[in-house]
Amino acid sequence: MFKFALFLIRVQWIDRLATSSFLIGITIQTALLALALYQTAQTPAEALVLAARAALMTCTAIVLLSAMSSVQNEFRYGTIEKVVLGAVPISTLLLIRSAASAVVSSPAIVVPFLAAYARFPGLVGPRSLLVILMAYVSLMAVCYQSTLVLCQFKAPIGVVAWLRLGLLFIGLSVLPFAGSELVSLVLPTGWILRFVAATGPQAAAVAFAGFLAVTAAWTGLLWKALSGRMMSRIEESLTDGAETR
Amino acid sequence: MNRWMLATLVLRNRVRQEGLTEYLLRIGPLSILNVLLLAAMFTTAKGTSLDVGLLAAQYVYFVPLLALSAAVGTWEEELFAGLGERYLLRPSWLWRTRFVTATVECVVPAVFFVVLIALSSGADRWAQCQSTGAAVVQSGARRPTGARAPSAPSSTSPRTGERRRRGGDLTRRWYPRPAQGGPGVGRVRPYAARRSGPALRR
Repeated sequence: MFKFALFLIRVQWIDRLATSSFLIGITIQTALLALALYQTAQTPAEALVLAARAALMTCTAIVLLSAMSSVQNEFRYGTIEKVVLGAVPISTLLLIRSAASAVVSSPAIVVPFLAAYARFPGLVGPRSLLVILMAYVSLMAVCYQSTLVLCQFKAPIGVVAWLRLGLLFIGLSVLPFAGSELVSLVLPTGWILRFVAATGPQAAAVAFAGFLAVTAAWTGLLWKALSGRMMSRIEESLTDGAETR
Repeated sequence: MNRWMLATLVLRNRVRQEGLTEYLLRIGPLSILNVLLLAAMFTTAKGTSLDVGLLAAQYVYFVPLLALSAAVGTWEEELFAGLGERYLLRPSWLWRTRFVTATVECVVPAVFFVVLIALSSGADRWAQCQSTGAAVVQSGARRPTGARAPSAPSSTSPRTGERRRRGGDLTRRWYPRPAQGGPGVGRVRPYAARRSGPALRR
C-alpha cells in the first residue's frame, strides 16, 4: 500500500508539472507571498498568521485541480473500470489520492513557513509545526470533499474557481462582515486561524479539537450525501459511453 | 489571409469552447475577485484596512502575475490546439495572437487598475484641498466652479493632516493586532465606522 501511495504521489506530481501555466503561476505566487511575508511581518504571531493564510490560499487551488481531475482522468485514460472493480475500494483510493495531492502541495505549504522562520527564528517549535500539520490535514480533507462535489458536474472546471473563492473568502474571513469570524468556523481553515491566534494552551486545544471535529463532520456528511450519487454518475457515464466526463 | 485573422479565430474559438458566459465570468468578476483576494490576504491579517490607495499601491505586485498567467495560459491552449506548426511557418502571427488573447484576458484587471489610480489620485487631491482649504477660504480665494467647500480640519481629530482616501474599506480585521502596530495600523478609520459610528467597530 505504501508503494501504491508513493506511485500516486508521483502521478499527481507529473500531472501538476504538465500544466506549465499552473506551475509558473503557483511558483510566482508562492515566491511573492513568501517575500511579502518576510518584508511585512512585524511580530512572530503576525508572521504565523500570514504564513498560514499564504499556504492555504495557494494550496487550495492545487488540491482543487487535483480533485477536479480525480474522477475525470479515469474516464479520459479509460481506466475507470479498473478503479470500480479493483481490489482497493474507491473511497480508499480517493483518500490516498487526496493525501498525495496534499503532499504534492508541500513546496507551497512549507515555503511561507520557511520565510516566517527566517524572519523570526523563534517561531520554530511544536506550535508552528502543528499548524503545518493542520494545513496538510485540511488540504487533504478539502481535496477529498471537493472530489465528491466536483464529480457531480459535467464541466467541473467552471466550478473550481468559484469553489476556491468561496472556501477562501469564507474560510479565511477575507471579506469582512459582522460575524465573519464565526462564519469562518464553519470550515476547517477558520479553526486553523483560530488556533494560530489562540493565546493560551486551553484556547489552542479548543481550536484544535474544533478543527478535527469540523473536518470530520464535513467529510462524513459529504461522503454520506454524495458518494451514492458519484457512483451513479460513474455508471451513467459508463453506460452512455461518455469518454470525457 | 488577413494578418489579424488567426488571432481573432483563436479568440473566437476559445470563447466558443469555453462558452460566452463562462468566458466573461472568468475574465471579469473572477479576475477582480482574485486580485482582491491577493490584496486582502495580507492586509487584513496585519490589521490594516484595505482601501483604494492601498490597493492601487499593491497592484504593481499583481501585474506580473496576471500578465504572465494570461500569456502562458493562452499560449498553452494554442499549443494544445495544434497551432505550433502554423507559427513555425509564419512566426509574425505569433505576436499578434499573443497580443490579442493576452490583452483580452487582462483587460478587466487593467481597467480596474486605471480606475483605482484615478480614484486614489482624486482622493489625494481632495486631501490636499482639505489640508490647504481653510487657508484658501480665509484668504478669499475663489474656488473652481462646482467644487465643494472644504471643511476646516478639526484640531481634535486624530486624522488631521493625514492622507484620507475615498472608497469603502473592503475588509476588517479580527485577528489580534500586533503589539507594536504595523505600518498604517490605526491610520484610516474603517468605512463602516465612519458611516455608522463606533457601534460597528471591533
